[in-house]
Amino acid sequence: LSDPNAPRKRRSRWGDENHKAAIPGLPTAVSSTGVTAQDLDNYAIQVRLEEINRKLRLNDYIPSERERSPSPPPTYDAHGRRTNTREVRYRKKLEDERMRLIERAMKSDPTFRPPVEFHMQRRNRPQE
Amino acid sequence: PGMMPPPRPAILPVDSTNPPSPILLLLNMVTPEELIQDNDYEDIFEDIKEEMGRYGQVVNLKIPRPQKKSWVPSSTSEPVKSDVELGVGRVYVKFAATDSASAALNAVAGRQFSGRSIIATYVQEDPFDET
Repeated sequence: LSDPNAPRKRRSRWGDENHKAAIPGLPTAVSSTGVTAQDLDNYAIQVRLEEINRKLRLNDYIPSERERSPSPPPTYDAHGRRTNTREVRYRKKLEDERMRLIERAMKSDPTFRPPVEFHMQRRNRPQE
Repeated sequence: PGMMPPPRPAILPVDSTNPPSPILLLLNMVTPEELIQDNDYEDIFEDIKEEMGRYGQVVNLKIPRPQKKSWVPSSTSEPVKSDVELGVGRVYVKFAATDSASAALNAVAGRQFSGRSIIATYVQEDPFDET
């Protein structure tokens, strides 16, 4: 076991310096002329939602080894199948984040229209 | 019924109408949940400060955190400020020189941080003045 008094080793959250993932039509170096910080916040939500949708669609949501957090102990369903695989955990994490972003955008962005499936998901959520 | 929502303000790529300034606003780097614990917040703060320091002298860095309900005494009628009001999710970096800010903006816009694409812009009003 690691020494609890050892200085915590911080892992960097920065991605590769030469890797930039651009989403067509959604610039990342943007102008703040004529827009408020709130407008930019809303734009960031829009970008992140698009990013999450892409990751989920392309099944590209497992971070690289370096960025992963320690795995929790495995859990199993009644049939002995593992229920918290890496795939399941990271997918759920993104789905939860998407839900929070939609909820925030509904409060802060009058132009925001939630996706159709949102109301359905929200209704089902407490039973999960 | 029939009320049209106001048009979404267009967010455009940075150009000459948005002159460089020594202060950057970086978005899509942090989530409210990541800023609650002191350890996480400090890690993120250092991680960003260190990397920004590669582009020039950083004179100030501000990462608004969510307000804990326990910080507001229940006896006061002061409402807990929402993440939206507090600007949680933003990262402000003030450099000593505008050139440093430009180098940083060019380097980090679109780069990943915690698997998120950074959005960067110059801001003209100093967010560090208010305190």
